[in-house]
Parts: sequence; C-alpha cells; structure tokens
Amino acid sequence: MESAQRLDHNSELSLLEFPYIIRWREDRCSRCGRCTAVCPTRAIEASVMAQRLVHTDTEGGTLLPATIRRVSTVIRQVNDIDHHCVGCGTCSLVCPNMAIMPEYNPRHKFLFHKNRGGVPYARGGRRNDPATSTLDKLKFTRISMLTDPSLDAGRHEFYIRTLMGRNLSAEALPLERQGDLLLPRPGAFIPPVREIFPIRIGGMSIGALSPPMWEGLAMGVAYLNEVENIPVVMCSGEGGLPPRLLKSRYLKYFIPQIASGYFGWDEIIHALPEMIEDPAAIEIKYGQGAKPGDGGLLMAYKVLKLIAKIRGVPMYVDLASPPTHQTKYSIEEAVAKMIQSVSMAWGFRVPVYPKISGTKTALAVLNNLARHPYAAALTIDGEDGATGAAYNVSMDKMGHPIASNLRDCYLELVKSGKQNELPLFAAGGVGKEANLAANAAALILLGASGVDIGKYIMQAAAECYGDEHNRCNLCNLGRCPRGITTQDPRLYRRLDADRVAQRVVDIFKSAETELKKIFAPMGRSTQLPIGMADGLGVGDQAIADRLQISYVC
Amino acid sequence: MKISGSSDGSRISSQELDDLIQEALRQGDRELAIEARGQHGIGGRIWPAYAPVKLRVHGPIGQRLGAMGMAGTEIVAEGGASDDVGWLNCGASITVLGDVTNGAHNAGAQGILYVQGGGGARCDTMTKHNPRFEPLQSWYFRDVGDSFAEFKAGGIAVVCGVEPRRPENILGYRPCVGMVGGTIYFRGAVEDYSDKDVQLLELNEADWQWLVEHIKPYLTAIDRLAYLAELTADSNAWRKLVAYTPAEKKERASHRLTTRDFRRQHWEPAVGKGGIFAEMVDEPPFSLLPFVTTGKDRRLAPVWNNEAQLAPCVAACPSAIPSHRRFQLLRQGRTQQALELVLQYSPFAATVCGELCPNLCMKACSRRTIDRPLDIKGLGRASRELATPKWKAASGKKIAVIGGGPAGLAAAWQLLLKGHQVTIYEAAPRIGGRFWPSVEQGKVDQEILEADLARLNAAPLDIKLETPVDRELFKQLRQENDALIIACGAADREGAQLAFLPPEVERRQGKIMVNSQGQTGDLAVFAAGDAVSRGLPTHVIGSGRRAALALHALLSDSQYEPESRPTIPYAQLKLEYFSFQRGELRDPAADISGSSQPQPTTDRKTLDIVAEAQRCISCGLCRDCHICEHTCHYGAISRQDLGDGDYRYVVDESRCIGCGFCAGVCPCGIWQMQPR
Repeated sequence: MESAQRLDHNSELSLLEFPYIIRWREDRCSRCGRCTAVCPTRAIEASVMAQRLVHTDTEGGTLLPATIRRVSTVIRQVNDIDHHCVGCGTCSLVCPNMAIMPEYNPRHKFLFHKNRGGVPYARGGRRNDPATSTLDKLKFTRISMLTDPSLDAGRHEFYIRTLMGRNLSAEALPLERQGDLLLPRPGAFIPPVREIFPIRIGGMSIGALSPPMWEGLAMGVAYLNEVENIPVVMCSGEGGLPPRLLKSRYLKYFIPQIASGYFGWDEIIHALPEMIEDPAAIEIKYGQGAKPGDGGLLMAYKVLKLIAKIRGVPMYVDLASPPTHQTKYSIEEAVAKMIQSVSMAWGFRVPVYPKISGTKTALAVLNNLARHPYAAALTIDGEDGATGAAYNVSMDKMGHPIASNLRDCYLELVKSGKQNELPLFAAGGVGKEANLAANAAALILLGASGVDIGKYIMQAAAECYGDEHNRCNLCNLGRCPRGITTQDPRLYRRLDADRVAQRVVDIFKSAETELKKIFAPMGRSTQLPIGMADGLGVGDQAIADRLQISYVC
Repeated sequence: MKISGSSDGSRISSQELDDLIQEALRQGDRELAIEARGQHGIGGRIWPAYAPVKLRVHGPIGQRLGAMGMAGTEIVAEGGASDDVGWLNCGASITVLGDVTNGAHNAGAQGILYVQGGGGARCDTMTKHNPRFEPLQSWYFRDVGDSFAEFKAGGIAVVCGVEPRRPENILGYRPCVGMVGGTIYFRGAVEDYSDKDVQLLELNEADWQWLVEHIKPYLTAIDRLAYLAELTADSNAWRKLVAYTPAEKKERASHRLTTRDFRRQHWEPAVGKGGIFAEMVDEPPFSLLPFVTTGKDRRLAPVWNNEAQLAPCVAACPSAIPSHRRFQLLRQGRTQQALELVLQYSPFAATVCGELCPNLCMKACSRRTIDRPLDIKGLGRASRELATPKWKAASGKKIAVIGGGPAGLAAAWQLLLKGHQVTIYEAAPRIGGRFWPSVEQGKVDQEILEADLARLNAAPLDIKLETPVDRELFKQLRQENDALIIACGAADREGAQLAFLPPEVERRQGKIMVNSQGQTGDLAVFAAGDAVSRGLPTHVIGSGRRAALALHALLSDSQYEPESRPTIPYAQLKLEYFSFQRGELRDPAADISGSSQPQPTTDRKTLDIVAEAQRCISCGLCRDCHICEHTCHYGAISRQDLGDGDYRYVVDESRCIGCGFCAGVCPCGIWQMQPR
C-alpha cells in the first residue's frame, strides 16, 4: 500500500527539465477541452487548482478581512518523462481562444532522464541540429554580368532535367552504322536511362507513412508529370506498393525500393506479368541518412490490415529490416547479386541503383559500382537525411554530412572520366531550412545529378511539425498529430490527400522556378551545371578547401 | 541642306555628325539630307523640341537611328537600317524603306515606326504607353524575328504578313513573353506565343476601323499603296494578341485543374475507385475527420468507474469495512443505515473499531495527507447501540463453529446473515474469547464489549458453552453438520490444542493449513482466526468473515470472489477541493505528520458524524457532487436516477470529445480515461 504520508516531490522532475513548457493563459481559457482531447502524448490534462484569497472590506474605516477559497479547473502539464510535451502545438492549433502554446525550453535536460526502464530514447524525425548546414552556407557566386550573356529565368526557356541511369559516352555506346541509321549492335546492352526532374521524393514507405500521405505524394507526382510536365519521380521506400498502383500506368513515375526486409517484394513479383509500365528505376537500400548503420523497424501497432497486406506479413508483429542484407557480405557480392537480380526482373530495361548512408567508405562502393555495367547510379543519403524511427543516438550522432561525401565521390569519378556516366544522387538535409532549390542546386554544382527529399516534403506538403529542436518527432509511435506517419485512421483521416497532392505540385513548380532563377545567371538553360563548382563560394575557408570551391568574403 | 558623314573621304565620328546636325538645326534648317557612313543615333534627340524637322538618310546607317526621337521629327531611311531603330522613341516618325534588324523600337514610348520590309529579333520589346501621349505605333510589312514584343507594356504593333520569310510563323519564336499591355495586329500564322501572358483574339469593329484608317498612311509612306486592297479586303485575315489583365491572369490561374479533379478524372479511373489503398483499408478513403472528434472517432473515452477501486481505508481494513460508504450514507441523511452497515462486516464495531483496533483505516485515510484522518474510531463508538439486524430466511444448512472468540463469532455472524443454522462450541463458560483479557487489562470497557456480545446473544445462535471439542465430538459434528469452521484460537507450536482434528485437516507448527478461501484439507472444514494466523482483532474478524463467505459460497454452489480490486492511488484524487487552509485545522494536536495512534477527535456524545462525513473524500466512490456534469463543456455527462437513492453518471458519446476534463476534476477519482 502507498504511504499515506505522500512524499509528493521527491524524485519528481521539475518542468524546467522538459524540452517544451506549456504556456497556458487562464484568463483566455474557456475550458472546452479541445487541447487535452488532441494532445498526442497526454502531456496536458485537466486538473484543479485551489486558491486562497484574503479579501478585506474597508467599510467605514473598519477592516473586515474574509478568506475566499476557490477551486477552479486548470490545464496542467504533467511532469512524467514518458508523457513529455513534444512541442507539437496541436493544442494551440485547436484552441479557439489562443489560450495555450508550448514554448521551447533551451535549458532543458531531457536526455538526462529519457531512458527510463533502461531503454534509450527512441524517436521519429531525423537528426536535430539547429546549426546552419554546410549546404546552406554555400552561395552561388558566379553571376554573369557583362562578361558573358546571362539568361533570364522568366524569358528564356529552361530545361531542368537530369539523367537517371548509366549514361555511356558516345564512343562507348555499342552502336553500329546501318546506312543512315545508328543502331545497337545485335545482343549489345544499352543501359536504360530516364530523363527526370533533378529533385526526387526519397524513399518513405507505406507503413512509415499513412495512406493519405503516401497517396497524396503519389497523386502529386502523377499530376506533375501529366499536367505540369515536370517529370518528378518518387521512391516507394521499403514497404511495397499497392497492387492497384503496380498495375497502373502511373508505375512509371515510381521507384520501388528493395531493402533488407524485402517487404512487399513477393507481391511486386506477383504483379510483374500484369504491369503495363516499367517503374522509373529500382532502388536497393543499404542504408539511410536518418539512422546510418541501423535497420528499420515498423512497430507492431502500426502493422494493421493495410500494412500486413501490402508487405505480405501477419498483422500486429514487429517488422524489422536488419541493418544488413543477410545474404551479402561484401561490396562485390552486393553489387553482383542484387543489381543483377533486380535488373533481370524487368529484363534489364529498368535502371537499378543502390542507396547508401553517407559514410567515409562511400568511395569504395562507388569504385565498385563504376566497374559494374548494370549499376545505374549511386544515391548517398547524408546525416541530416530523411525520416525514421530509431534511437536518438543513431540519428543525432551517426552519419556523414552529404556535402563533402558527395564532392569526394564526384571528384573520384572525374579522375576516371566517368563523371558524366554514373550519376550521383545526393540526399540528407536538402531543404532542411526550406531552401529546397538552393540546396539542390548547390549539390548539383558540387557534382550531384539530382537530390532526394524526405523531411522537407512532409514539412512543406503536410504541415509536419518537426523541426531542429526535436519538435514532435512522434513518427515512430504512430501518434502523428498531422496524420502523416500513423496507421490510426482517427489520426490519418485528419490528412487531406488531395491537399497533399496540391502542395506537392506547388512545391515542385516553385522549386523549378527557383532552380531557373539560380541557373539563369550562370548561363545554363538546357543542361544542368553538374559539377560546375566554380559557381559556388563559401565564407568559410575550411569548407572551401575541403570542397575545392572558392572562399569568398 | 545636305550633311555628309564623311570628310575628306573618311568617316567622321558619330559625335561629329551629331554636332553638324544640331548646328544646322540651330541655324534654322528644317530639312536635312544626310549621307550616313554607319554613324550611331542619327536623327535622335532633335531640338528645339517638337519643331517640324525632316531628315532623309541615305547610305549605310549605324545603330539606333532616331533613338530618343522627338515629336515633330520625321526620319526617312532610304534603305535598310541596323539594330535598335527608334530605341526609346519619344515621338519621332521613322520610316525605313528596307528591313530593320534586331531590337527595333526597343523601349519605344511614343512615335511611329514604318518598316517597308521585316524586323529582326527582339523588335517592339519593352515598349510603353504613357497616357499623356498617343500610343506608339510599329508597322512591319513582312514579318518579325524571334522574341518579338517581350515585356511589351503598351503601344500598337502591326505585322502585315506580306511575303513572310517563314509563312508558318510570322511573329518568330516565343513572342510576347512578359507582355503586359498594348496590342499586336497581325495577318498570318503564329506559333508558340506566350499564352500565359497574352490571348489571341479576332478583331472587333473598333480594331478594324483603326487598322483601315491607319494603314493607308503607312502604305503611302513605304510606297506600297498597291497592297491596300489586299490588306484591307478581309478583317478575318487579321487577328490580334493582347495581354491578359492581372485580373484575367488570376482568374486563369484559378481554373487550373485541381488535384481533387485530377484524382477523380485521371487517378481513380486508372487505379480504381477510392484510390490505391481502397481495397485494403476499412475506413472510406479520402474521408476527412476533424482534429476534435466524438463517438467512435475519439482516441480516449471516459468511464465512470464507480467503486472499481478500493478506498485506502477499505483496503487497509482487514475486516474490509467500507467506512467511506458509511460516510456517504451519512451525507445522504441515511444515518441509521450508515451505522448499521458495519454489522455486515463485523459484529464488534464498538469493541474493535471504537476501542481495541489501531484503526489501520485512519492511518491510510487520504484525508490524512491533507490534515487529519476521518474519525473512523469515533464512528465505531457511535455504533454501540445498534439493533440486531433482521436475519435472512433459513437456508436449512447446519454449520458448527468451533470456538466462540472473535473469529468464531465473526464467522457465525456472517453465516447467520446468510440464513444458516449455526451452533457455536465454546470450551469456556462465556463467549468473547480474547476480548476478555483486554477488558481485564482496561483496554476496553466491559459495558462496551457486553453491548456487542448482547447482540450476538440475542441472535438465533445455538451457543454451547463449556463444550470442548475432542476427536469424538469433532467426528460427530462433522457428520451432523453440512460444514464446520474451526476458530479455536491460537495453539502452541506443537499444536496440542489442535489434537482433536483429523489428519486431513493439516497442521504445521501449531497452525491449521488453509487455502486462500480458508478451506482445510477437508473441503467442508474451514478454519479462521488465530488458529490459522495470528493477528489483531480486526484480522481475526476479517478471517472469520472470509471463511464464512467462502463456506456460504460452497453451500450455495456459487463462487467466492476474494477482494481483488486495486487501491486507488492518492494521485488520482483531487485533494485540492479538500485541502486545509490556515485556521481550518481545528485540532492542532492531530497534525498531519500523524505518527501517533489515531484517537477519536471527539467523544461519542459530541461527535458530529454528519459534519465529519463531509470531510470524507469518498475515494473511488462517487460523491454525487455533479462537478463532472458542470465541467463538461459539451453537456455530455448526465446523472441517471436509478431509484432507492441509487444513481449513475452516463456519457452521451455523440457529444463527448474525450478531453478528460471529467477525470481531471473528479474529486474522488471515479472518471477514468480509457484508450479506445
């Protein structure tokens, strides 16, 4: 039995330990309960407060004190570490009176305490780092003035496209002349290449994302291709694709991802004979930027009917994607086995490329791919990348920034003259501070053929609350207050797929315009300035030296 | 007057030629014939302003003929002219009897340009219309080059389309980008004009009238009057490009295919009705829910968990006396019922609760965390003069209770309450067992004990005093009765006092072994009290009661359910409603640290038990205070009267948003939020 002599504050945390503190204004509150009804962590609750007031009447010079006692309903923030306020602000979103708002507490000591039961802090989102990223420090310093004709983004026609696939040089193409025609030599392999918009939507699975989020993205991608003529492609993430999409003409805008869990791949193979289009490419995931070296895990409570069906697994089981593929022990083996098998599935008509986490060992992977005729590209996902559910330590402390990793790889390709042959796609913090086009352009100038976005699209297309101060980041728990990363219909039905699609269209249209605004002054309109690093400058000597770009001040 | 651009056979600079022209004008010359040799800007900025000046230019003409030309200036070029003719024209009439190259009338604002041939690239770009003046006119006889009329903001351009160089497109590549004003009349085919900026229209009456009226002077000036009939034969041969107004642009943007329509018209027809996941989800796809929901769409729902958790006083009482319920009855004005309720649990309220018991209930009382515990001891004392309860109809079952001490009497009392026929076998000459030494020790007044025993003596009990039970008698009792309860008190380690028991009633170290129900190895023989485990009077009373209830369950073919409800945590109560304030703590001796033995705060005569009942928090038992009903913003909670003073609070699911305010304000911790 509990001791009646309650030692109420012993070992309790003060609210100052918490990352977000609820500011509640009693004078504005109507006690309607909307805030507590929506709080995803139950960090706020209704409670009562007792007040004592000595009210003194002074009639006729006589002082007549009276004690007034009042107990009223209040909103209280709980100081339970497992119900901490995540700062999402859904309470303020639904409050009719602007009476409540979480406030970031820069002096919090959250991580000192968030390991109850010996379980390290796990969360969703990506690396939290409020510092300006290298990408955002880069500036486009080569502006054509009177030296050479500059272009006008509004007036000149631009062709913002990149190539996804092995792009053999003219001499290397196995062609022969037959009369006036150049035709492939009989039996020769010409690697498949797709012309796409240089910003792709990176792999976020059905399961990690809710149905309306995934479908909203997918519809936006289809719209961009078919209505706006912007050929954006989207990676499925590792969670399969619904048969309806696999068998539709839209499949050509999607990149199914195969990863160490192989979820949904039996269904994809079953659908092969019924496919009327080839997919845009196939991505083989070896690592992801959000949690490098760590695998994926979809918690049992997110594995409901939909996920079970798409992934081909029983309901309510934890679905682990191990950090490694079990049947591969070396780069050579990984390249030879996976790329070849997957290429074979579509008769070598589809580009197949691996995605790795940003790492010091990226060059080794790259060199291996460069030697492999079926390797279509390499995607490197840097430390600020993507979204994920993982231990905080994996997200915050593991990984390699994308800028120098990508630059090293590009310069390595330059050494062997393959820089225009094997495209590099870069990810990891693209659009971290909302400068989507600028970050993408910077990476392109450093040598990327294109970039992937993840978190950015959630933030921009679906109002994801996540920020660099660990705001919300509930993705792993299936409690996403926006309905983006949950399988709970009561939450995901908050999200309007049509609107997500609309925002995707808006985002890519505006990014295209911004890319033109960046490339126009550089005089590039028909070809992406891949590797044109003389267009970049940075006000940091060390970064300039490392990236081999100019230092400006 | 003739002015030559050469001197001594060599070309003079543009500046020198301009000096000559300006000097001639100062001298009053108004008609000049200029022999050009590629000089720049001939015929521009002619002062004095607006003076009628005629210039005929012959020979190779440099760039920017008539640049910054003024009203009154008339320039005729007797052959083709190079780039930027009429650049920034401010009113000059310029006739070029040949072609113009790139940039003609670039940034022109007023004046007229007549071109006998065609135009180069970027003609009529950046032209303006200043409302102070007539609009600018640019006339091209054949066609124009690429990027025509970019950023045109005003003025009229006419392209006659006679013998065009590219008949399939007489306005060149991508005309009208960024055009925001002015009009282009043209005769012939066009391609890929900037349709986000301009619209292609038929000519209206006013357009045609203007065109017919102004084309004659043009054709006259360029010496092509012969074409008049052909060019004015059919208004339908002409069309015009005009800029969309900002309002029209906005309107057009709003006509963009919405993603919703895209889904309905393209996506769903291709992937299936309801989208790509429709066949895999139970919820209707594309159905939105608000953030705040009711009914089945709530994530949490309140439950009125009345009495689902034990009050600390009850949980602490080995006799399980529901003191909080007694206080509730007191608050309801059912004083007699409140006092009598104790008899359902113990026949010794006055002796034990009121005197002998250390009152574990009071030590656990939630109220003690605020000021001082409820006076449950006082409530025990107030129960002294309770009448014997009404007994149930006879069940026909016979039970022997061996031992007339607290445990045996408590067990017998419970069995009587259930209507069984009970005989007590007591070795001593009086019942009461271990209570008597307490009387002798002065721990309890004899009258108090006798009052409690009197109730027992008045009960339909067969009490056989001075009847020790031996093996023989036990065997006989076992045969004559439906069941037995052994409550013969404590035995020594060797268990000599228990020698009368048969071997199936197992003993160990002087204690009878029983299961959780008080049952011995012989399933019809139960044991209770100190014979099983030593304890306070309240423990043995509780033990007797539990054995009796288990036995009753056995005899009535029902299941005995021992108490398993959890104790309500103090944190679940809202003590703020009760928290004491300065001056309210009447008895400073009963301080909140409360390490001393609980004492009744008042004597029996002066105890205001009804006032005391108000102090009770009523942990886990609805206080019927209506706070939840008042607090619920949506009126989702209401009280249902069930008659006989019974009631419950219910939730209207269609109104409840699951905010948890009811749980947050409930003083007694009744409302709980459960995930749905």
